[in-house]
Amino acid sequence: MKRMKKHIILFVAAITLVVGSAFMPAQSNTEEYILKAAFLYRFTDYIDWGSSSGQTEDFTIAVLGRSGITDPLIEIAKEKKAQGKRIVIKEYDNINDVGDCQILFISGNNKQDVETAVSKMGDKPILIVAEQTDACAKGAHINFVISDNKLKFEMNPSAAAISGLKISSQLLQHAIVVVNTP
Amino acid sequence: MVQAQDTSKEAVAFADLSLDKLMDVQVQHVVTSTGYLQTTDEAPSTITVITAQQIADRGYEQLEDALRDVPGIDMIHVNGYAPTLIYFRGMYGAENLRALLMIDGMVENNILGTNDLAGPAYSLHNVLRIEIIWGPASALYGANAFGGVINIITKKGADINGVHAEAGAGTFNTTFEKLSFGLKKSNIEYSLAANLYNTDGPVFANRDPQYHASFVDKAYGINGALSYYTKSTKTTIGYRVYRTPSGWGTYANSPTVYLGLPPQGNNNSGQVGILTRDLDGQKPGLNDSYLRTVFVQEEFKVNEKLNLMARGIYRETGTADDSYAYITLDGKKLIKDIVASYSNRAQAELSANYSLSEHHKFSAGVEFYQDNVEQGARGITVDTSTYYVYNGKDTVTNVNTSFLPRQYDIRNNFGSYLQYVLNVKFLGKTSVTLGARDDYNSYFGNAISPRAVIVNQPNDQFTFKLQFGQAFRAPTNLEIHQSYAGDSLKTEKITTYEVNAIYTPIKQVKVQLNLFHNYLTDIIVLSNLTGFNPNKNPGRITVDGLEGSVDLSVSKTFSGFFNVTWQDAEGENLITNVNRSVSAIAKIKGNAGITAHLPDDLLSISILGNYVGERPSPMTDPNGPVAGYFLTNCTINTGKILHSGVSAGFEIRNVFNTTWYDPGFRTADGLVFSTLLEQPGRTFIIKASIDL
Repeated sequence: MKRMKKHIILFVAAITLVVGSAFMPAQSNTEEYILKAAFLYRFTDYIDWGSSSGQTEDFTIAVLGRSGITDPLIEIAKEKKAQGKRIVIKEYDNINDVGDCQILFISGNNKQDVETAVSKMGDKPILIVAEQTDACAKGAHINFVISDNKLKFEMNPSAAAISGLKISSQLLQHAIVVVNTP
Repeated sequence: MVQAQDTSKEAVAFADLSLDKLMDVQVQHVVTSTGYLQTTDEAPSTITVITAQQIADRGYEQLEDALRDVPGIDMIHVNGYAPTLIYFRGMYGAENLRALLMIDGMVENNILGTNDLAGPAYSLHNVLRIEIIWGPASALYGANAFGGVINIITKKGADINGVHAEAGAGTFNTTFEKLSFGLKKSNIEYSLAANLYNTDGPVFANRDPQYHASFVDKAYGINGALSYYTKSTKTTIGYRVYRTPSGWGTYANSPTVYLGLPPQGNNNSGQVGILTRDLDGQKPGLNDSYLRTVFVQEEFKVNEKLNLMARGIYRETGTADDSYAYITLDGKKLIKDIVASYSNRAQAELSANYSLSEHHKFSAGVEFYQDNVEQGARGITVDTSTYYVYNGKDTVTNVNTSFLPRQYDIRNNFGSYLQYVLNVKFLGKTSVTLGARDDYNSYFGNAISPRAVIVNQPNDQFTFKLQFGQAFRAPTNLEIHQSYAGDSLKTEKITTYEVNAIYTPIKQVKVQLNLFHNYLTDIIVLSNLTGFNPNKNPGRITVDGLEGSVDLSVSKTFSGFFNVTWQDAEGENLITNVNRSVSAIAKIKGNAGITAHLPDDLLSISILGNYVGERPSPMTDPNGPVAGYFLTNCTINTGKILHSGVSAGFEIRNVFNTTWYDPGFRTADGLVFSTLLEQPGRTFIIKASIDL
């Protein structure tokens, strides 16, 4: 028993030593949302927001509902620009509070459904991105899905067109499903 | 293929990737629990996932290395045949038969029911992740998804994306070589992984200074797959084989009386046993187990709502006919025994997942298999009246023994299941999973396995699960033919109730509590020995348990875990009315570990600790309970040296050279089966790898 205690003490000491030498500031670990953030950023190369986009100083990404995507988006915003503009990230709990933005990301944790968000924002030049089953059929422009353990996306170009967005054919080619419901 | 990393800063790196590259990044989800992709929190089961990164960082070479650090598992290391007996959540007995081992969703357990489960042939170098589902899962998987399901998900062509080669060496003349290559190009994806393992194994000098029974001689695994993609289909053909020629280890006592040695100690008599040293230039014994699988699989995405999968599988498992042992019963002469078995299974299955909407999801499937299974171990001719003397000292009989013709049974099994998942926005997010599977088997008849699970996520921080499930374990043909003539064995049954609470106060910390109650009935009767031995006697086992775990994923450079398990496993013999604690199950055990990556990924260090408390031994064991132990393991890996594809690793196991034992199993009375199983001291592995 005495020897076991000694080994446990040595084990804890070794752990303390290693932790002390390698501890780094906390960062996000949600790999899925890191990827989603990168996708959101990459989408900006393939979307034309029309003339309304030129009227705003910043490129705003709104996140509806608490989501692991916020932190990696902030990291991207620190180092990247979208459409030549500074990227600003805003989090909202309620769709009624969402202000001007270029992208609206509807978190899967959001309590309000996609239809409500689309009915509020669908006629504005805002790219609506979701992560729920059937979201494109409900009017979202892009919907993230996991397929073969990889992050893929579906698209609804008709709904995007109603919002006044032009989507590059290159982006459409990458979508695994294209839904055309207004 | 680019592996997703765990920091927000990685988002910046990923943001620079093209869409093509982004769409090729692997995302961590699990499928084993429902057939749908879900996070472990959402899944209607208790799930542990071990990732490829953790396998690499922590130096896991074989399945048992990875299982060592998760809560709820007890092990007995035989260091030879078996090779390790693994007990899920207090379910001692029925050695390695109460957990379903799957590779890419296909059952890998031996068809006959011998207790080989994974081992050195099952290298983890081509494993993408290991999913462990706790508790009964027969509602989806049928027979033997009893204590848990271990699903090994292998790397496919896109995951490997090139060539990986690895070689290593270690204590006991251990050597291993591993190779994997794969690619996905256009509509074609292919992968091939192979590994070779050799070791002389530890020497347990108290059993025999010339001990040589824990060797592994050219164990190998080969796993290949070729897939063809269209827009809505994926067709895969695959082949895998695992072969493990090994010594008998400490499966039985060392015959110290025959060898003229002092007793091996710990109340072991040494009169009966299996030879542990070479005989006339031949190894002391060999158990040469093999498992082969060939399959063809078609996945068809009909539309966004409906996915179909059809699969045909043909498997062969057995013990090759070069297997043998030298046994002594009287301590005066050796009897040569030869061992073999061969069984095969042809299986066809069809399954469907249908998402009516985000609120309603259905899974259904049908499966048929036919086993051509040997009637236990193959019969042999016996001649113990002719004596041969080797080297003037070893007296051996039955030298010219040969196999009798193979006797077999045909067993048919038809299974069908249906599962429904309701997702509603009630008290946050709530899902209700209801499912049942019916199996009809030509031997044991009908078995129905229901499950019901409620998962509630009131907010991002909390998840609560309430689980109920029943499962069964089918009698193996070994058990059927070892039982008394005319016995018709029933299935073993388990009922489990479980409550889980998962708390994620911040994204870097996850705290989980699992409270479970297992009730096992109809434990298979083979004989009625004195005392309570759950693998040999009729009985019931009741297990109550509490598992707590904390997982930290602080940054790319630092992660850690801590888990503790409390289990109270009580057994009851319905013939002798004896009630006692179940053997080999520690009331308290725990694991902790950290992994730190030095800046620029020059080096990573993992330190892991395993505590196992005192364990009861079988009632027939004169030695009584086995003392607890604490082991420390350390793994150091380099990053890619000088930006080449070359990296190196160094592992020390049992850093403090602790003396530790596992309890004996079966009767463990010191006559045939040992009272205590000795374990190795400090060992080393050094390895190098290259990625091209």
